[in-house]
Amino acid sequence: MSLGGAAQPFDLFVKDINKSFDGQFAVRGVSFGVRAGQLLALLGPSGCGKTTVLRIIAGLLSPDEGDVRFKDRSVLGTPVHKRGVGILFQNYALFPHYSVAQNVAFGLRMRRMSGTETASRVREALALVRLEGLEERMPHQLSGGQQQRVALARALAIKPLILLLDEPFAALDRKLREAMQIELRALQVSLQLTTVLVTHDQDEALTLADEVAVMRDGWIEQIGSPSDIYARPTSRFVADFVGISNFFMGRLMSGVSGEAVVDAGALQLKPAKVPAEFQAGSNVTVALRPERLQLKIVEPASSGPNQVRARLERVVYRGALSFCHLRLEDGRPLIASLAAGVDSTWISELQPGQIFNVSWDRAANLIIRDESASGVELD
Amino acid sequence: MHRRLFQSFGSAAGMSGPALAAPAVGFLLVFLIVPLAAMLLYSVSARVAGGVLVPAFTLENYARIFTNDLYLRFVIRTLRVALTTTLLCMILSYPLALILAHGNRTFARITMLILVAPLLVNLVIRSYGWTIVLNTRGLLNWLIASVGLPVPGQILYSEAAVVIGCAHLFLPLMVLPLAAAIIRIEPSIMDCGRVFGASEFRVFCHIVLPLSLPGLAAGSALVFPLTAGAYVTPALLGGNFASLLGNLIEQQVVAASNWPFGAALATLLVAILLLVNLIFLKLFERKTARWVHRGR
Repeated sequence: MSLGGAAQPFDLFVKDINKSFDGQFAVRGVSFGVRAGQLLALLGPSGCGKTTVLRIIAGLLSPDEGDVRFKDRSVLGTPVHKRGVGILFQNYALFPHYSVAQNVAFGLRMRRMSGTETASRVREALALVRLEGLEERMPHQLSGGQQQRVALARALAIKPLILLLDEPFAALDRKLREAMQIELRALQVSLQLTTVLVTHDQDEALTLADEVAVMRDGWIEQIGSPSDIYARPTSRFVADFVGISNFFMGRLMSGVSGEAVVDAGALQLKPAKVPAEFQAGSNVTVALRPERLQLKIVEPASSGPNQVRARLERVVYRGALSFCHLRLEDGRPLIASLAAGVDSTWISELQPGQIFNVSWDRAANLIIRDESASGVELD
Repeated sequence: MHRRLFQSFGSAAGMSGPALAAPAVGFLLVFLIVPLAAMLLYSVSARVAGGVLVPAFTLENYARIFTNDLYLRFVIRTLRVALTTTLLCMILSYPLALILAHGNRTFARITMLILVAPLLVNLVIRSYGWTIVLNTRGLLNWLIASVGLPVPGQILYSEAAVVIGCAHLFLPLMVLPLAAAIIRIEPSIMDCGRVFGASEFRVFCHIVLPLSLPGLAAGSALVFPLTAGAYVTPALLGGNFASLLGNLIEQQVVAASNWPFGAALATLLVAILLLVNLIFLKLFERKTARWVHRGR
């Protein structure tokens, strides 16, 4: 992805941001752009710096280095209360001493908007989040979901240049969270709101975002569309944090016919594609998604690349998916998933102890960067 | 372990609640209710020449307060000084409480030290300290003169001196509950205020001020009665020109040995303070009733 092209119509552009607290880097070298009407998710575990980036965009923090540009104009000199962004916090942060209508009107009042216009904007915003009729309620009289809607209406009422969402659904129960996600996405698309979402929830990021930036230790590990991130992770961290992956380490070799093969002990992996940064003879890590693996009751085993014999240890039933925890003959673990509709006849017959021939196609082998070879913790 | 001990003790007696409350009730009875009753009793007793008490029922002592201009002036001055002191404390408290609640840690600690350190100094010595500052040729006037401003003259032995002394004395009692109330305001609520267009000043006016009212109420409920009942500070800083009800009561009881009249004045003071505090708290409650119940 090319960043910084002058012609790119980015509504929001964050350029080479650095920020440290007490000498500790919280954010380093973070750059990304969000085009008009798009939603970018900053995804990462807690402490990865995603919230710091959000606060820098809002103006609640200033970066040590770098630039934040709204519509190609630097806003670093603009104080937080004049940036014109809307924000949604995890705990809603409604003003407890104001009614619903007063909460929604707050940003408009601060802009010294006339009474009649304020009233119509408040009505409009409450209609968008379907909360008409609750104008006079106090925040403590509302349910969590309703409070979240009020907070959203408050952000929408000011017609923000950029909408910032800080773990907005983390406090809601799952059903409500999923409903709110869909509703928010629909609103964001129809209002063409340029949005940055901060979340640690991979499902939320994949569901809502046009683009996902996976963050780790203060920097962006990978940025791309949700399907890019899931299907083509470039590092072990991303492959592990987003979805589930099996990892095999081995040496990258040139095969007989000139095709690349990864020699991982008892296992030969033949990738469809090797990224240019990896050279023959180097040690590489291959990630395999569980759903790409196929299980067959073992027959006279054919040996070859992209297949291996494994013993089934247990099955974790998860409704739509069942996860088969297998172990290779040399003791390495392997997880394969079976889809309920497709493999249903299978799932009922699975028995721990069965030996399977596990195979996968070449495109399933993803050669990735792997820092954990040097002992980086993952969770 | 302890809990079980208490429980078995309580249930064995079959009256855990009353039994546990008994020591506190007893304490209050002996040290609050009995003296109050004695005071009331004294205030309706008659006195004959020579300071001898006569057991009788008379409202003469109260009538004397309300028929004599001098005594009424004491009452009004006392309320005025208490009110001014409370207002001054409120104004001085906000910056200090904000530093305690949100300032950087070192700064907050220094502020706390400055705030609390005077409590370690004896009240009388403290008041004498103020006489040195507030004297005609005191530190304050010297400072004012040295920067070339017109000297206001004598501050000592005026109501202003009493207000300054009392405000200094009772400031921690306003600052601490206020700081506690401000700390309780979620930082994200203030952040929201800023993001949605409020300058720091307007964040203070629209968010911090209203949400810290419970702390302000608690502080005022302490500072107002303590100032109105102050005795040493007005005696030393107010002299004859700004002595308060407390000084008048002392005069009547000790110098004039008129216990009944002193008791009547004291009873009036207690009644006024109860009434004022009640009105105070009702007003604050009315202001915050719409949202303060959120925790329940």
